[in-house]
Amino acid sequence: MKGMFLTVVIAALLLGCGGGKQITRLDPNTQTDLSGKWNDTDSRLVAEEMIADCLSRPWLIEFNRNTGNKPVVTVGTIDNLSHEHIAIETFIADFERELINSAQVRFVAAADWRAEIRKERSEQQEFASAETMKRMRNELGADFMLQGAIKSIVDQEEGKQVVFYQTDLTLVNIESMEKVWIGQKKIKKGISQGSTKW
Amino acid sequence: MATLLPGRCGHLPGTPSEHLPVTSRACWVLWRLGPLLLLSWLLVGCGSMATRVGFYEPIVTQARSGGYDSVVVGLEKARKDKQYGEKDRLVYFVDAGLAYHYAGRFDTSNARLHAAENAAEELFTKSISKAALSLVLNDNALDYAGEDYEILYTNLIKSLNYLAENDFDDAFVEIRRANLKLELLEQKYADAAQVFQREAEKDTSAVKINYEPKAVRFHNSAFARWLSMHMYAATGKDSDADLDRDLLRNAFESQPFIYGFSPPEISYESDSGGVLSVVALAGLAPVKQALELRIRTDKDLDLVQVMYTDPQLGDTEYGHIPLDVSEDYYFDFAIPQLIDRPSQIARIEVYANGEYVGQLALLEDVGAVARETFEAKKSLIYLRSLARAIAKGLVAHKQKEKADTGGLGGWLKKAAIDVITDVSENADLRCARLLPGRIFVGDFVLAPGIYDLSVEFFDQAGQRLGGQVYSGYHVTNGEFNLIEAVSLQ
Repeated sequence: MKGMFLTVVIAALLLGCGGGKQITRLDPNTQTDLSGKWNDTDSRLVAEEMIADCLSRPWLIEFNRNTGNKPVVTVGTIDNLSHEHIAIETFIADFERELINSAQVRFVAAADWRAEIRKERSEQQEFASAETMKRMRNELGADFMLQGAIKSIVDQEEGKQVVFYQTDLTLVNIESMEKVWIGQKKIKKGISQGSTKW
Repeated sequence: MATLLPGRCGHLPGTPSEHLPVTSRACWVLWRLGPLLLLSWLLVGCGSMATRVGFYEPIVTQARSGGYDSVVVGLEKARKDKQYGEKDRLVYFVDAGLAYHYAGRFDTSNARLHAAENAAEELFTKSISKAALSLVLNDNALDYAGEDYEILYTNLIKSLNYLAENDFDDAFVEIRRANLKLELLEQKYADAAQVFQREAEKDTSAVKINYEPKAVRFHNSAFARWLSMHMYAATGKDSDADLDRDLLRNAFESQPFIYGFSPPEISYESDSGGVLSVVALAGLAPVKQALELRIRTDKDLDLVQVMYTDPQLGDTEYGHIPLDVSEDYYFDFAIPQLIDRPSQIARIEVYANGEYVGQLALLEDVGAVARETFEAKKSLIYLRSLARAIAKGLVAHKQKEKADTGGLGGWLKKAAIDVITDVSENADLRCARLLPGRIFVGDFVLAPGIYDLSVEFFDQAGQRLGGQVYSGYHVTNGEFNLIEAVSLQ
């Protein structure tokens, strides 16, 4: 009886001490939908699907045929017009990655990156050796700019929310302003609220 | 409207439970377990089941005097000292979010307000289900899911936080979230009523409540429109800015019960200079106070005695109704009411380089929004309180009959039962205590340039109550030149 009591006490102590936070490393490609809100998986899947669609359309073949070159693309503004805080930088990075990795287009850095690189090049004119100094006015000009927006519509029934996310992207010819591709991807998600930490 | 359907406990005494219909059988259980229930009501009713508000007094005093850093310290200490239980976490998150905002700590404010918003979404449906399932529980025992006006201003203060950090995208998101909540408000309560009715079918209490929420008449916040109008204009989306300006006007025209005053002069563009936009948060929003009602019947005197303690007058008043009554009953219930907290601020003026620029005008009365949005849930709170009071009163009556052994001992026992019934009933007074009471705005055209700006608060007698200075503020053309002043006096 005494032994059993001791066992129970020790077990209780062990169980009591083991209640700390557990961290599990996940594969970044696994789909995780903890809250139903927009997340990294949505960002990645939307970018993959939309870029695959974009690169399978006739504008690319026509451009190749007319110029004999791969088109040069840059990513412009993607507005978050949804009701969720969305990490747009991550979303844009996903588009850039998909475009570059496709090897079907050439890609130039977006405007906010260019400013920093131009500053560096400008300073090289003064401080770098003549052999290593990079030339001014030798940037690759983009042929097309990708622009777009994420919007959301929320519906609610019996306290459960269903959110409809719509990503609209447009590829515009920078010289002619011609829209050569319009893509749309919709995601519908049910939102459930987890416990708030206290 | 909601209706209260009387239970059938009148059939109970002496009836074997197995011979009763289901609802009456539930009543029979309640009856037999009377002493136990009464004891549990006593145990849970007196301490943790009452809203703790005393610790707020020094905090609110500090807030009124502008000591926002001390307010932050006070709230964090209150949390550490467990003045807030986990069930009260939403109140802490809202008040702490507001305190950090007033103290200019915008990131932390957003973190707290974000937690408040999540908690509100998480808890609303749960609280309705529990409200239906457990009549025994005092509302204070349930997780506080927040009032709609608290959640609405959570988003709008977050938007101000993002604007202070020049983050338009996220400020826009908060405005959208606020507008979305207003659009879904009516649906939210229609859904809540469905959840309530479904859960109520599992109810074992003696009294059935038919909850039909009152229609929500608030669907458009002028303050949200004012903010987004300026943000659209600053990002070159003039047609969207125009639309929001029209929606702001519409908020006044279509909701006169909220906006019972003239809309302010607003402007987001000028050919002759930049527009300086000023927002001032003034005074404190209403808080909940208990209205206590007691009904006693006296069979010897054929009298129904009504007593109530009014939160504003603070007195107990009596009314007597001569009525032929056959039993001595005692029902006690306490319900929350929103009570205004008067503000000293009567006028707010703006100065640039020491020169008078103009006066701010009232854009939103948070108290009016609070009262309107509280209506949707009020009937449920009131009917639950009434139902609980009746159930407890019936149990107490049965116990008093048993205790009525004559003489002083019997009288003391009966008095003790009345005291237990009295102290175990507490109104749920949880609410944010640091929400601003009124929102004033002004749009003034100034030549682009650098200014030393100040916003000055005055009382009715024209006496200066305080002010805020913004040295070296750069007013530019075509941008949202926003300054914010706070005085909670």
